[in-house]
Amino acid sequence: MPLQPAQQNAIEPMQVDVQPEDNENNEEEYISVEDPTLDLESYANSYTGLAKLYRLIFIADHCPTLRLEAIKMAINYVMATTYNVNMYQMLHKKLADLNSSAQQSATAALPDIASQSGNSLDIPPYDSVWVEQKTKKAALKLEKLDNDLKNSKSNSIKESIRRGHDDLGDHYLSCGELSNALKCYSRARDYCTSGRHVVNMCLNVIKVSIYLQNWTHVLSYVSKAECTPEFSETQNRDQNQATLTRLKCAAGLAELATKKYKLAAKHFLQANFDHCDFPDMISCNNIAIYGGLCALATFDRQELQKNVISSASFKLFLELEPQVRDIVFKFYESKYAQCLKLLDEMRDNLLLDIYLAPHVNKLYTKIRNRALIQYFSPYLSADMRKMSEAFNCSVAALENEIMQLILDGQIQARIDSHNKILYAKNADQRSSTFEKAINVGKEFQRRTRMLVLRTAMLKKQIHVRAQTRERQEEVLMPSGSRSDARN
Amino acid sequence: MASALEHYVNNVRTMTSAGNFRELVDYLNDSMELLQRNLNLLDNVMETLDLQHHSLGVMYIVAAKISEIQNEDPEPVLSLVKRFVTICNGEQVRNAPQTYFDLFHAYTNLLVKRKLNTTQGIPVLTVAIEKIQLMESQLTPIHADLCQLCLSSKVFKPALYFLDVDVTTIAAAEDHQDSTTKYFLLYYYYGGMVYAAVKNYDRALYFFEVAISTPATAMSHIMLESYKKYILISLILRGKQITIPKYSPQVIGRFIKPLSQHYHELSNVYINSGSPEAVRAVITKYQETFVRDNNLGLVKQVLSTLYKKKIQRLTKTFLTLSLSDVASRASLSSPAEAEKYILNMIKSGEIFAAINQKDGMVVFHDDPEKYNTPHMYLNIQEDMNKIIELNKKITQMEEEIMLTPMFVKKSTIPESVVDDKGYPSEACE
Amino acid sequence: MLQEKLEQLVKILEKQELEDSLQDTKLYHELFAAYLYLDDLVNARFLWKRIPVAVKNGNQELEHMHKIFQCLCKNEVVELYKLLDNFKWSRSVAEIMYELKDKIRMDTIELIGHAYTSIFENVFGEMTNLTQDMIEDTCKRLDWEIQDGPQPRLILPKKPVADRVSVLNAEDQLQKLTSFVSFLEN
Repeated sequence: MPLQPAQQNAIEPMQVDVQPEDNENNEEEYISVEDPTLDLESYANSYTGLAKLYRLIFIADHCPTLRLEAIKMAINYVMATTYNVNMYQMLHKKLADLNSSAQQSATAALPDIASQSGNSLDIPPYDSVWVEQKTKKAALKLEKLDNDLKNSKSNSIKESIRRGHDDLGDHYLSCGELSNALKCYSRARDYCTSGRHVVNMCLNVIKVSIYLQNWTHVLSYVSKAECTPEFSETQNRDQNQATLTRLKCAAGLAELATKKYKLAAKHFLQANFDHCDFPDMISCNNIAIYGGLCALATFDRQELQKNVISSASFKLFLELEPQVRDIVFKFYESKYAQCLKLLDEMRDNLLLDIYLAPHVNKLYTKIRNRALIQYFSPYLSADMRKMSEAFNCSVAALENEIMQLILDGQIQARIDSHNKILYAKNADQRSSTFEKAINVGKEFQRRTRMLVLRTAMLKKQIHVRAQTRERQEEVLMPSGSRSDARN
Repeated sequence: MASALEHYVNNVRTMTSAGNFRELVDYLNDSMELLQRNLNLLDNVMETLDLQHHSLGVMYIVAAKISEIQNEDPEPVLSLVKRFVTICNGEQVRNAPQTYFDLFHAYTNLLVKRKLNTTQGIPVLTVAIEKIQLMESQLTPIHADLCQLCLSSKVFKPALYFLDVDVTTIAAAEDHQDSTTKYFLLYYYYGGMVYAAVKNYDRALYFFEVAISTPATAMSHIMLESYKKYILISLILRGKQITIPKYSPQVIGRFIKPLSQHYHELSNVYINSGSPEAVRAVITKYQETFVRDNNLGLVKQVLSTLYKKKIQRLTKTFLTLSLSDVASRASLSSPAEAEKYILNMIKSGEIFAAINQKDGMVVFHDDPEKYNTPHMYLNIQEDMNKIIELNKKITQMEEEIMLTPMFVKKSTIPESVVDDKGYPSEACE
Repeated sequence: MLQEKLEQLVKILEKQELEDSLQDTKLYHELFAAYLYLDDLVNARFLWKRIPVAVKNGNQELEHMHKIFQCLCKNEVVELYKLLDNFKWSRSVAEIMYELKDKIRMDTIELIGHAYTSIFENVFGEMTNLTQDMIEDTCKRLDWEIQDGPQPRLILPKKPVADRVSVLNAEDQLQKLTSFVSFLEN
């Protein structure tokens, strides 16, 4: 992955959100979503900080219809709350691109390039004044924080040094300089005096690592935080719960991004609804969706029943996303046609989610495969025509899907293509045992013979060497190698 | 000079009758130059010596003759070698093994380079091997020569006779380790090729595997070629790329793999895309390489097994399938061709199926082997016997090692007392 | 009978090939024919490759045998019958070639029994080189049903029952069993 190292040192935040697509080895990377049913404003309001910005940028990149709105929202937010001048510039450039492409597609050629186009785009102009101001302010603040830190260091007060590092990290984060922020937060580690400090430090690092998409980092710090001794005590229950949930969500995100869907599901399911309040990372709706879909794709029936359907805590999450709830329940009740239909309806919106988009297709395929396997499991023979109706596809396509599942060993069956019936097949245990035994025997013979040969080779030191005139010092072997007549 | 040669004859006579073979061998090694200088007189010398009685002396004469042969008629030398090998005394000759081996290496080279009738060389080498072997499972450098002659003359049965025996020991002269290694590798390389020619791919794979897992610190062309063939045969046999054993030398990964790019690409296309057009495209793209390495035949077989593997996959998933579906799924051109393929595969036992011409359908069956016939029982018994034999052999080898003084010493004395490097003085008995 | 005789012949001829320096063309004819009968296509291929070009050129019989060899490789039975019929063989190989034709027919019938659940009469006739009457006789003998109906009629072959003679000696088996058990115990 040649892009990974670049991403880790990304000073440009704009590179980050391109990564999810490039990390996968799919051919068709860019999925453009045409009709999402997303209410952009309420969606964006559930997030703060860089999370909000990244999500808006992702939507802008992938959805032409919402592009303008997303960029505008992002610009407003950047101007209002952050020092992130680079982000602002990048957003404006996107806007300009959008503008020019809109102008090209518009039939009327507008003579005035600086004008806003005849489509009432209503774009705020590039505010270079703001840019200058913010840059100055950011530099000033940086200096001040630096000095504070120097002072604290000279005074050697651990607590203030730690806080100084933290503040510096926050500032960098606000400016969009993620790697510097990470450095500062990590430096705070040496000055932590209590378990709570360590946990805080971990949480900060995790936050920045998520923005940087450095998932291994996230996971290691999550485990670090969980192992901190003071944390595992039950003081400050509420606070601990919040932190615990936060860690679980971070871990879930990391596992999801590295395609470990089952682990991701397990993490998300352990989140506690009442203490779920981190708009700078993830929203409760997200947890419901990610957890629900991953669970559906990887859990078997019992696990699904125990951990999702009967789970009191996760139920509260599911209430937020009634569609996901319906999907899970319909799946459990074997109403596959409806379940799959609902999934399809949700698809467009999911493709706009920054963390889920690269995995949507995979998860969907997994869910569909599970549905097929579950559908067929009680039958000795099934009519493929009925099955194709239930799964909303043609018989030929179904045949291909099932063929793949049989080859992968997930269904034990045979297809009668003449009559279009699927027959369950019981493996003949006795025959397969015999076959295996004979194969093992043959393999044993082969390996043993190879072994005996190798011993002979080593005895005679059969060894390919470079052609040198000088012979190496030969290691003396125990007696029995050189001159015994038995050889 | 005549007197020097007389001297030679006398020495040979006296030392042979005295039984001083070690001294004799040393003397003979020294007098090799003498012999080579006096080629025209060697025939006379041979008259005075008895082939059977003075095998060692005669052997050196023959070796000298064959090493100095230039462009003259090889017939006399060839028939001389033949006569020598039939009559010579194996016990005596074993005292100078390397010369014996070199003699036959030269003999083989002569036949191959001059494109003479290599078929004639085969019985000679067969006798040569049998004379010097101490037991049937001993590998000698001459084995490689025999395989080479068989390959060039396309008569395989004599080679197969030796190849089918599993090697348990290796005959090698001291201080000639490089030569031994070279002929060891050649034996397994040529042997693999012989098996591939007679379509015993399982054994061919085994041989190539041995060749590429030989310890090595330097690159060897033989290993390179073996590796290339290994890739092709694993595709033909298993339809997938078999990973090389863990104990193969690092040289393979570092030097040999990068040199076999074309083969890797072929294998990747075969496994990943599984489409005959793609495979065919790769083959035409790299045709030169394959032809140059003499692997085009194997490559073509790889292509033909692609169709077979596709049809076999169909047997795993379908119970019945129409012939036209078979044709389309296996990328064949028409239902008639599909029927032909399936009929051939049924005949060779690769699949179990029945064709229904009325509906144009094929019904696939499972392996009807139920493992309940006496025939199968006998097979299993044989296998079990073989395994027991192997086990016995391993136990025997283990006992051998356990009885060596080195091992006893190391296992009874605590390690702090014995210095790892401090036993040269107590080496070989 | 012929099979065993030919196996012996092959051994002798192979040995002869290695020993003699001057090759007799008769040897090649006989060896090739024997390989073809024994269905040893691998050795046949290499024999053809090593026969000197001088001998091969213009040698009608060898070339004809080579064509038969190629048909055997591709399993083109129809061609095979044609080739086997239209040739005057030399004395040494004539018997083998006549027998070969019958052998191919028997083998094909057995194969059809295994491989087909229904086959058209004309296809069957082509593959076995039988006339209509002979087909009816054969089917009656093998107990295969011929469905009435429009031409070409459908034949329903049945799988041949393999008659395996089992040679098992109870004492032998006991002895083997004890040796296995003692091996496992130790």
